[in-house]
Amino acid sequence: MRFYVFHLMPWPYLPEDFGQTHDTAWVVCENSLYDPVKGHELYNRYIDELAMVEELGFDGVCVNEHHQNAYGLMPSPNIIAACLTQRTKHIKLVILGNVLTLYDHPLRVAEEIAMLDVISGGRVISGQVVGTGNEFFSYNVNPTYARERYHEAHELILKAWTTPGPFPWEGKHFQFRYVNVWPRPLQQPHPPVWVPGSGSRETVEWVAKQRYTYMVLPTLAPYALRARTAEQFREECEKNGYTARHEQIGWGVGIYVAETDAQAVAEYEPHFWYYAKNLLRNRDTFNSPPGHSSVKSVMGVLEARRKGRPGNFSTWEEIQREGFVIVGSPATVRDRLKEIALHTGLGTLLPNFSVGNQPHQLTRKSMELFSREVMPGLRDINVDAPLEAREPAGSPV
Amino acid sequence: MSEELLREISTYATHITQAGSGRPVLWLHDSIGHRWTQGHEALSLHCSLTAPSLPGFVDSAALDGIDGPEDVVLWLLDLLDALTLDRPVMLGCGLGGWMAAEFAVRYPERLSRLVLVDAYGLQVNGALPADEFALTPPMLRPLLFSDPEGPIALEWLPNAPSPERMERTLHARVAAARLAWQFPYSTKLRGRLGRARVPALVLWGGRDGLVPVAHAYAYEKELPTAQVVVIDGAGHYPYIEEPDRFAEEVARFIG
Repeated sequence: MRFYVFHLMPWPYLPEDFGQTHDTAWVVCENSLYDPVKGHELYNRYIDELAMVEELGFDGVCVNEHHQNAYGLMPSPNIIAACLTQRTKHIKLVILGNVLTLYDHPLRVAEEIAMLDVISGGRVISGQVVGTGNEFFSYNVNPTYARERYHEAHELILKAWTTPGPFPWEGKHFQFRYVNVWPRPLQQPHPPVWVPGSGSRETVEWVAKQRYTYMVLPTLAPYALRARTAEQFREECEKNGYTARHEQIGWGVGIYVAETDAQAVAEYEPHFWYYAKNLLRNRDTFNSPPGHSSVKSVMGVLEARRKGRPGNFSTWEEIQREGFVIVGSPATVRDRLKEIALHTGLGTLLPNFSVGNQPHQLTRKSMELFSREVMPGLRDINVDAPLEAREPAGSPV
Repeated sequence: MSEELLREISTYATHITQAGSGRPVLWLHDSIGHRWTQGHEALSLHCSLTAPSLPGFVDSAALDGIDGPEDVVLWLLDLLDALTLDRPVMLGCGLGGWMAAEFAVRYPERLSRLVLVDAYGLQVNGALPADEFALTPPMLRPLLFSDPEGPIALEWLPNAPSPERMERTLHARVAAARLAWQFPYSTKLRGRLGRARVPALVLWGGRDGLVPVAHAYAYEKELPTAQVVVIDGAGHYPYIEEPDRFAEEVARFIG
């Protein structure tokens, strides 16, 4: 199993009464709540937390892209990744943007990811993301084109990386007379591609077909629902004539480790509620604009939720019972992760150690304990045989 | 008594409801989709009413080729031919009103009258329509209905669609968003309205909080021959909230 630390860079300074005064932390949540002076300190603290990952022996870090919100302050994940190319030497930089649908110039994505790959010495993993519903409001992109824009941008970027330029691109959404991206990526034929998903059948099928890594997103959902998605992904891989590699199954999850189970819950819980009740606070309309997923897929998700998701998670017992997050002593966390790994086959773990308004000291302690006392016991689980060719995982075959 | 047809009009599955006799009226629905209202019923006593579903509203997976108002205008030409509608009155509500106006500036000779009801379509400074895709039903009801928690409002815009209506509602939202996402207008329409040389009635709910009544006066100002009638007691759907008054105004206008 490999370990890539996931960070959202959340805004931890929302007012106490935010839940009573606001119906969303997204799109229209007023930006006067953002304080750039505190923000300066915070960005640098969060970058420190990501840079620490290398000395603690993790395999990589994940940065991600959200716009106009308090939930995650990386509208440009490429900027944070650029900082990290200078703060780290060996670990992978997983960039989860870029949100391909948002850009009228997908070549800019191809250029920046290639730049980061060359600068970092071939350490970039290219996340290729449809984007949450919110982003379509914030960037005025018509969500009824989400899937076709995504697929066209994806094809264009991959072709720009792998086909000698210049060549013309005449698509429905994008036209470029001269596709000729300088620099070309260092990893050949191109950086590995990872795709996050929250269970949409269309995404699962497509990622399996492309042989990319599918990341079961860390957003709050019960364990059973997420495990079913991983299972569907493995079935789709079989339908495409191959067995999923462990590394193709990514698993995002909130984790907190402390000396004992009781201490872990006591230290983690208030910051978890800040996250769940403030940062995830949102309108249904922003989450799922029309066309963002097909009507068929939306009907399926509504059905699954009716069956599987508690109406409102209000108690810590419920959070723990449903397996939303993994919190406890090193032994508890290790045993639970081992169980999940053996059940789902996951080989790519994306732990998020920084929840809500959790202070730096706790994040640091939790990561250190994880690295020292949890990770070693899991390293040898779900290890793939080496790939035969030089091609990185995630290359289309 | 109304009659239901399912036709394919230039590749798009189209539900068509027809009722009444007399002068032909083609009714283009709003983003709520193809639904028969009391306003339809009342108006059908005065004319031969034809109400089609707009492209993609039956099945939003089949929206290919509909990228903007021009595509709907061409589809409307095919519809008039397919149904042999000779110079009908074109009546459009909200989103459908915008499509009707786009048709009228291009093919006024194919129409005898134009009726715009709380129509999208124009960019009016300081009067941007509310974002129907961002607001939840409880937030939208006060903008759309004069009595937001009354039985009419709750019937037409419940907090969540009933399970039987869910799939149709989702398709309608996708098809509407394809045309009306965030900015439900074309910047060029206003400058083209002088081409719509056909008598026009601009009918508006005085309490429409979605499309401000300033849009009614903007249409009136630019259309060659237009009269505005404001129905004070109604919101965005005068044909739902004040069906008799609505039908009376339209009937008087079309003669």
